[in-house]
Amino acid sequence: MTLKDLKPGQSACIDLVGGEGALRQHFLDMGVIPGAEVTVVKLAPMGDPMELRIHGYELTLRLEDAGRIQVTPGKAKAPASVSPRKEKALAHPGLGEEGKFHPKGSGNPLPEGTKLSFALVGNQNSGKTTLFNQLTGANQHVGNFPGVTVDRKSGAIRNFTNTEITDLPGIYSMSPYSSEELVSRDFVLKEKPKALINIVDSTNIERNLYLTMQLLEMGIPMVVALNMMDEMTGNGGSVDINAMESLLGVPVVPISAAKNQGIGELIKHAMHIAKYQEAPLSQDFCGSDDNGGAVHRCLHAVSHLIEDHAEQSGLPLRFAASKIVEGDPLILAQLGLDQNEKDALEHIVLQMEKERGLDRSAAMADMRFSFINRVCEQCVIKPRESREHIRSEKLDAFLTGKWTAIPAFIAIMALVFFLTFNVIGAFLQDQLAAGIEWLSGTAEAAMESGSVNPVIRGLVLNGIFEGVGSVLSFLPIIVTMFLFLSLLEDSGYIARVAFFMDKLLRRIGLSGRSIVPLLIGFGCTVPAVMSTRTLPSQRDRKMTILLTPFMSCTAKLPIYGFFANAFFPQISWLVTTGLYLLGILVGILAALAFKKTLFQGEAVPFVMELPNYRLPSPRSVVQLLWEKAKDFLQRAFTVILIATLVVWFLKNFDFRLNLVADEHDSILAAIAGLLVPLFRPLGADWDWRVITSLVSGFLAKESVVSTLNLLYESQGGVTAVFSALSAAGILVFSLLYTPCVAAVASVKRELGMKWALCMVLCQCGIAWAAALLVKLIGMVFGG
Amino acid sequence: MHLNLWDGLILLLVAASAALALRHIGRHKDAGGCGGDCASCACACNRRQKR
Repeated sequence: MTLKDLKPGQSACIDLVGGEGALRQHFLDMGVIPGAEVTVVKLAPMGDPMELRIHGYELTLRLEDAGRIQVTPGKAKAPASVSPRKEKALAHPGLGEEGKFHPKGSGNPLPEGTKLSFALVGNQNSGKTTLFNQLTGANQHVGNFPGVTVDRKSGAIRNFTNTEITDLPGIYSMSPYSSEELVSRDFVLKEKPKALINIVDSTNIERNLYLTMQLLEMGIPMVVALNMMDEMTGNGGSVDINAMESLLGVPVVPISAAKNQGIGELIKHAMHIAKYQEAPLSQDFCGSDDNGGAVHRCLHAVSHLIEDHAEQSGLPLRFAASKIVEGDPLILAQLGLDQNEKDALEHIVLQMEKERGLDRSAAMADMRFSFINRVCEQCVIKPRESREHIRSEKLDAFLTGKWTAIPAFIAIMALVFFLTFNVIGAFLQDQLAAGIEWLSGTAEAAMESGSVNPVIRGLVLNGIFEGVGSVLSFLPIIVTMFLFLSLLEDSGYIARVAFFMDKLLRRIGLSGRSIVPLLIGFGCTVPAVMSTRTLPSQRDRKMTILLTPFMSCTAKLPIYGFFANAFFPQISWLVTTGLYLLGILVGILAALAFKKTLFQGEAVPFVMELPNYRLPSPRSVVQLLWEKAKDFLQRAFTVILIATLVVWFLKNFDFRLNLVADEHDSILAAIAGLLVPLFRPLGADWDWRVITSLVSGFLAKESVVSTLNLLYESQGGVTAVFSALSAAGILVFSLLYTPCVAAVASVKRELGMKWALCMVLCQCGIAWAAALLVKLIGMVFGG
Repeated sequence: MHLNLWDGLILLLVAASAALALRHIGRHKDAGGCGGDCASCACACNRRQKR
């Protein structure tokens, strides 16, 4: 029987973990190992993926992957090798005695003035970035979603200028499953930090210590920071720190990064071990009596065999030996072994597999988890089910329930959009627009009284105030949208959305995680593109980035509102809704086309940890909003200001730099006129003015309507010139054509110039074809 | 076109603003596409700030 066949609420013991390659290794690293007890919590509303409870935490995986894991229903047997809990008191280093457990003189002090570099390593969502912010005083964004940090970030520890600490992406093991894990592993191996700070989530200590053991194997000075100890002790748990220190052979410091507790002590220990280069005292976790000692003998034999190669290639011996036994091809290549040695190694590993009754990867994972069980048995009093977990379960019963998940999601998103566009954001937007209008009026009056030249007056009022002002008025909407999205992310809800939307998105070649950027895309494409950094594979990331512009952003709303009210007043809401749905439909078609051509293959497996719901920290939310507002204001007063000035100039002057009386003679009309033949098939109404408006929309979508109004003013406005069919064509074109310059810049930043250019051209082509289709359909129906 | 003192001042102000904006764009090559994510930004201002 496989894990897939278990019913919700049913427990089983894992017998065999099937599959192959990196994904299988990832399962083993996440604690899905033979002998572990697993309970199916629930299935997603669409029947796939499933939520499991293993080693005290929640993990989600797809049924297809669950089908590879063989289980026996019932509870797992307690491990036999666990020794009884010791009550012996152990000496703890006193004040000023950091590193007492290291024999005196065993360290190798660095010369005075050497820069102390640290790497902050830990599981995803264990609080690394929160700790990084506390240590450095930085303001990095933290979220309650696994994988918020995708780039490494560095800073100096507060009050210690000659230090550099690097916040690495969250990883579960030193086996390179995702690109982030490779980044972290390479950083530790190649950049050789002077010490590691390993952050361990004390509420989920078993799985977190798995990474700790692999870090210890690297022989780099290390301190373990036991985070979330407040939550642990608050729920009746505790950790015997002294015993854990003696078992792991490194200093262990209990902390609460969120509450800034224990940080001072952590810094002291970290500085000490880095300065005196005190390596972990123990690396040998394979007991000679552990399941017959097969893994122990194998590891030691391999260590002896590769000792010279490890030294030559600069790899830590114990780490290299473990990876060789696991069959890591990258490390094998790095060691440069002789064929004879490779054969000998293979024989040693085969013998171990035979004696242990498990394959190489499973045997290594089992050895590590056996040691972890021993450590936990001796040092950890597990907390009762935490308040946070009970609360999460109650919320999940509704928010990810079979019948309630999708309606709740739709209701939450509708509420977010309603509050953003109709209540809070709209109210604030009106206030800001009124403020800008007042400022514009005051400036106009002042310029009149100062007899300012009409041309310069036009530059200030019609150019700068109109252009920058109209964009600036969208600031409240954008900030409000981000407020809600950040609340959803920080609370842990977005991780649930990814869980229950996975099946739907897999049909178009994406994984559940892509839902986050796509949802943000309805607000603004720029942050949506940025948020794709949380996606684990390049394929998914590229595909999601190329699809986000199809999710109609808020800046296009003025265009929809204007045309729908003018040409389809009876069904304006239907037209606007239809445009949103058309965007989604074209996005789906594009995804299917991508899946068949550019991005063949399957989306990454959906193996994700579901964090408990948490109350978002007001500081973090306010910080994020400030960053977004600052960024938006910067853009308004830089790119949009320059663009406005350029359009104003081109519209008011001819090639001889004379002021024009008729805009048909302007530089803008001449340049835009070159593009007219391209748009001729779309209808006679598509003249240089429409093209100019659409080009100005490339700078900021909001300016399409104002430019159209300005250019058609002399002919009695747009309604007097356009037919309903032309209006429909322009609406569809506006929906689908290239996103604004800021969005293209962010795509360029994430994917490079080639992809950004390709996206602009493809979207313009799609928009052109769709507008032509609208015209043809209209003609068929006699429009 | 006749310009008075106010015209000159306004033009100077607009030119200065445009120069500052261009300088900013030149430094932040992604034109704000970083979304305020300063730590991962390699622009000149940020490097100076870090120093």
